[in-house]
Amino acid sequence: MRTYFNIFAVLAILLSAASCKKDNFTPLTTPPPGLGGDTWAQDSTDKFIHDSMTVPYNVAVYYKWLPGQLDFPSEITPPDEAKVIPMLKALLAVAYGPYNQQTGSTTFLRKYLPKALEMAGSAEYLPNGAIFLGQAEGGTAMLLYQVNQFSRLKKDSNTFKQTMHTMHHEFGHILHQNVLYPATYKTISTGYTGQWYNVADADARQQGFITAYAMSAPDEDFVEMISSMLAGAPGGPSGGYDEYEALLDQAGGPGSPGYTTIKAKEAVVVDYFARVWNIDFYALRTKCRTAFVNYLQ
Amino acid sequence: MKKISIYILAVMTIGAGCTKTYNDTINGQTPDQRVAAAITAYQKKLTGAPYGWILMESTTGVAYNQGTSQTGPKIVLAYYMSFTDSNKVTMFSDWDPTMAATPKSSSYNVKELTRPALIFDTYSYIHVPCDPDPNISHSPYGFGYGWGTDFEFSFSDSVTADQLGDTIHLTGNLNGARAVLIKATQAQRDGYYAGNVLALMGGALSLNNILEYFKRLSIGGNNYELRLDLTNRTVTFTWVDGSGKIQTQTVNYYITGSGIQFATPIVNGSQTITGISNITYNAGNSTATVTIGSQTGTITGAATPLQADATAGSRWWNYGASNGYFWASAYGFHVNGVDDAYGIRNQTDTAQGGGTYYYLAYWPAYYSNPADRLSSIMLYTNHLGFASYHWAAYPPLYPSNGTTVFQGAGDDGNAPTPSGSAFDKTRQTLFNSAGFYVVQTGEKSYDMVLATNGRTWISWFWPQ
Repeated sequence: MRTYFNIFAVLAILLSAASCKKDNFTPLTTPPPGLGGDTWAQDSTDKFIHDSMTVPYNVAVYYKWLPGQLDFPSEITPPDEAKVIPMLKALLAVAYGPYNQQTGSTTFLRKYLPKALEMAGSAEYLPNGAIFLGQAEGGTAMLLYQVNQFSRLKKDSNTFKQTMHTMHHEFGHILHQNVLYPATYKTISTGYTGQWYNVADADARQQGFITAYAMSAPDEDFVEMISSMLAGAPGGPSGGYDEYEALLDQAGGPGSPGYTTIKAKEAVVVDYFARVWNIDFYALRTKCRTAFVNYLQ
Repeated sequence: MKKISIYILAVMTIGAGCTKTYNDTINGQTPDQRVAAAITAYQKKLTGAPYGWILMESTTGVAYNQGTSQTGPKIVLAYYMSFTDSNKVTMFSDWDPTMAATPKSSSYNVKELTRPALIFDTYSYIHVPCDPDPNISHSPYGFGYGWGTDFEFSFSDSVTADQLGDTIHLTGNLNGARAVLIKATQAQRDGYYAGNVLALMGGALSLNNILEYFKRLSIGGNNYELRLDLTNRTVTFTWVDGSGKIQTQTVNYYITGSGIQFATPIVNGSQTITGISNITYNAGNSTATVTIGSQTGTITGAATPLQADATAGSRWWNYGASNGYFWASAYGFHVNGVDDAYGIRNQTDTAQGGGTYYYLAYWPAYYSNPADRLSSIMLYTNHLGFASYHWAAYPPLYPSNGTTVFQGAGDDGNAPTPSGSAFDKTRQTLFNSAGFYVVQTGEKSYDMVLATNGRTWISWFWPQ
């Protein structure tokens, strides 16, 4: 009885599915327009993106506001179009260029750069008083905020360093989202906290974290190590850009617990780049620093 | 078995109901095709105005970020916009003098969201008031919030795009700001390019050259007092109506190429004022000539108000006394056109490890006898506190001329006020026996104007 019933049930479902078939289907004569508004008149910015980002790196750059693309519902503004090309040129020269030089071609970045680069003019302001400067979305997209603040002037070198720090940070996420760093990294430090924004960077360094944000989670810690080492250069002006060694001085000096912890993390990062990506991290860092200093005006 | 047959029948009936016997096209057009047509029609509407558009945006007093909201002052803004076929828009704004004088080009898009939407998709003047960076928007709504304006709007008229006339209504998608696009005339467009908005801003600012607090507008036989609030973009009209009562109306203003417009008209009997189309300051006699409608009026300084608000002083004092806290002033006294004329903001204190000026405080009924306290509040290393020297005062008097007279009692003998210091000058002015005309400027804010010549005043806010 039970089997009998089930057969009928299956039959009934099949019948009902069959009856949903549209008999009077209207074939489209034009492609569906999607939600509309997805095309616009191409200008010099769009051409630059196509020639410099999409063709060589297979990356789509979203600089125009797309509703719902960034965190919703948040007060975020789109970038000023006048800042888009200068920002991309800086990225190519200071963040991407050194990787190309180190790996010998654009192949590495072409393969691993997330396929979407999304830009916002302002930062994203969080209720706890912190702001987002960048985000990486599961290896598929990088978000770069505060494009409107972009400047390559020496006097704004601190902001410029922050931008490059953000880019190296987000690309670091992409790398470990592809191949995870050794699990032992997560146990080098204890004391990860959601309240990281109440800690000053200098205090975090004494506790073995290169920045306060590194205290938020091991993933962040790992990529903050990468970005702190790759962004900046020696000889920065006071209050301007500082290289990694200058930051490390605040950890308490050789032999102190903070210094030792950060150095242990550095060793893991260097080893990870060598084994997983076949990249000499220190050589890459030298190239990044040269590119950074040369780009400032 | 009967039961099963019923089930089968039921399922088959439902299944049969799935057969689409209707046609989802309208006039042979699929939804996708209709969406595309509507988008094109909206776009054509925008680019089809030969002299562009004026966009007037009004906020609702609410701003959103991260899904939570803050409330604050409502503002009204005006833009001139000219849309091109290549997704570019050129605009002026009445936000600040630079944006009034220099057109900026950016991009826009018309896109189908839940409703067709007009999106200003790269940064321009319209994004400045809703920039979450407080250093850019100067929004009073708090960190991460703009003024509640928008740059992504839904078309909100209930007619199709090709039926729209010369007025298009929009609603902001994040903050719900209301906007109206009005097709501009050639004269309006020319007004923007001729720098009229900048000139009107300059005209309004020139009223500060009139040294008296009370700025009296005479027009068509009526007298008004004007108070301009440039931060919150409001103007307040005060007048005495036919029955001798004081009337006050505060309205939002916005500036277009053809004048300073009021979001709500001022109505006084048979006289209705919707805006001011011209302001010219005459340095010779410190007056301004204004054009309102077809009439010409003058603005002159006055030492006394049209009619003193006789209970404002006691309202002010009682509010402080009953709430057990103090009124605060950031800038101290404004004298003869100079903000903080006594330099009270430079005041420092050596006590408690050193302190810097935070604000001036008047605390009604601070002492139980009762007596009031006038003191600066200082920012010490990690806390706020009274400055070392301060004055006690008897509660103010309210004589029949409508003024409020403060009565100094003396300073603390252990910490005498240094003679000639900013605080000393401040207390001498406050305890001037001429008294003050008290003007309520907001729910919890008051101005006090020294009755001697109307050129000395102080603004108080409630710091709690």
